[in-house]
Amino acid sequence: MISFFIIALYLSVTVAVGIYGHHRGQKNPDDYFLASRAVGPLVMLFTLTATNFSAFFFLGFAGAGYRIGYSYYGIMSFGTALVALSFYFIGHKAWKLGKQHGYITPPELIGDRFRSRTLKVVFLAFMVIFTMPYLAIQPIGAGYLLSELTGGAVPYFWGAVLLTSFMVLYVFLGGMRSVALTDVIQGILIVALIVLAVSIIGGRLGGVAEANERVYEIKPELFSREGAGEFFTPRRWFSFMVLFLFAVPMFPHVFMRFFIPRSPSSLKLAATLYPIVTAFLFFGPILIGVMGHVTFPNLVGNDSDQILPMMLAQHAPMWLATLVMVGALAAFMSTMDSQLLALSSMLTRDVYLEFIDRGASIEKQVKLGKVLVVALLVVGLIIAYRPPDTIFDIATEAFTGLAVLFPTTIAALYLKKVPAWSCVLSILTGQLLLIGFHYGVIPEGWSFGFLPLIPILAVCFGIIVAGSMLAGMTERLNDRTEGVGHPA
Amino acid sequence: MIRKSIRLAWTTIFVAMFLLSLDYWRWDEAVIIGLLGLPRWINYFVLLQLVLAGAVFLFSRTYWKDTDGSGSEKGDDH
Repeated sequence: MISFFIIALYLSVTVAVGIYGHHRGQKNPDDYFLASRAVGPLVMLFTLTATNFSAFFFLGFAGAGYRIGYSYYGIMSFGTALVALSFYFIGHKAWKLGKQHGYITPPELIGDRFRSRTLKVVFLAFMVIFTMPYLAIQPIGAGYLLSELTGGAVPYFWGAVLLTSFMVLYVFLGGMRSVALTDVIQGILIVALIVLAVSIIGGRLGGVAEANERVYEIKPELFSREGAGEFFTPRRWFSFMVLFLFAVPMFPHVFMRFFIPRSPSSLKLAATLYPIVTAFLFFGPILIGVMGHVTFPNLVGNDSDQILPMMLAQHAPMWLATLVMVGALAAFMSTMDSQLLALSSMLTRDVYLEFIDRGASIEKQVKLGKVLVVALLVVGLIIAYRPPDTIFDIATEAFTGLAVLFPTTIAALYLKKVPAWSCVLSILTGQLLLIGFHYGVIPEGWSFGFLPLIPILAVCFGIIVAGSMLAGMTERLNDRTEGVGHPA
Repeated sequence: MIRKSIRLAWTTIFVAMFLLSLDYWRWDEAVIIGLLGLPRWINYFVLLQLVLAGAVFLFSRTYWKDTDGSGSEKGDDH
């Protein structure tokens, strides 16, 4: 009974924030999708952190910690910390351009910079395609959590439906304003409750040191540099470091946050503190995953993604386990609400406004945005109905697909004279290569021991550079021809 | 010219940090268990992140201006 009360209390708070956001907000797209570009430093830190820490963080990390070991901490924590650099080399530039030109979505920026509708559509399409599976991870996580907490009384899928419905309510009501404010609450909960989880579980196992010693006796490979089963080779390690830096800023819900700061000071604070957050916070779920071997030694595949709720159900009183699970719910909701809002804004602005009704009123755009939030939730739940792989596997494929957009983004922000066609070709080729590697059409050996991301990115950048050089040569040729045709 | 040199210096610093995260020299070392029963090599990554935070802080105070895009306006005129 008390578990349901704790969950109900948390959900009520989030809906209350949604209502607050609804009343404070102005009824225009800039406010609904971007909180009027007026987010201060502290909220910026929490929203960038919380939006990135999702069910993948709570469940996926613990599951990977269980399967791979502490090596996973090294790659995830520093790989994510490096993303702070993108708050400058992508974030600051995007913020400035967004303010100057009124961009609301990433495809708007890309399309406008290259004056290309085709590129805008291609960029949009792949941003949506690869965000949907990552969005689906959240209800998958929610379903696991509630099912485990209630001992199966709430079946996995109905748990997913119930929790995501509450989340959609505050997004629907208050847009980015509510999302950013709930991110502050959820960020605090994530930190506090993961620390609580480690304390409880470690305490029940005789202390973290004792638990680690016991695991080391049965599974010393979890403490090795390369991880259990030699999961990380040096080339794979390099690949994952590159993957996070190139993929995370391309998540539409992260990219759009570059448009919302009141000033660059907001981004600076977030960039400075981000590595400190990752250094300490990422320990928690991985530690729990490793310690999970003491209690549940033989989990395989998808089952290991449930290690965190299983450990809590086993070692903590129900009310305490529920409290910690609220932190996990906060993590999944803080990401999914942002993903839904980002996708809805892109479909409203880049599809409906662009191709269906250019003269759509501001009110209509906001209404459509809200309807799309609900529609996208339904699609996410359909994907979540039969979860295919481990959470980690789903995330890796989605990340690679988004990383393919990175070269085009850099070209938009920093390079002169890059023709739009080379960016379109870069993206399409990159995605084709990804499909080729995924289905084995391209032999695994062609990635030379790296993740397929590395050769794919090399090709994508190469196409853009070649396009730029070709455009430069053509321009010089035209200049010479004009000079010949018009003698002094 | 000076700003270009400073930009190069910061780029070098951050690339160096990325390269330091590829601690291949440690790959075949025997595991030494340290504080809290954790492998000692974890301390390296904690330290690296704290150093990164410090570097970003200095960067944001000295180079990252509120008004510029990247230290130059090159990307602005497609």
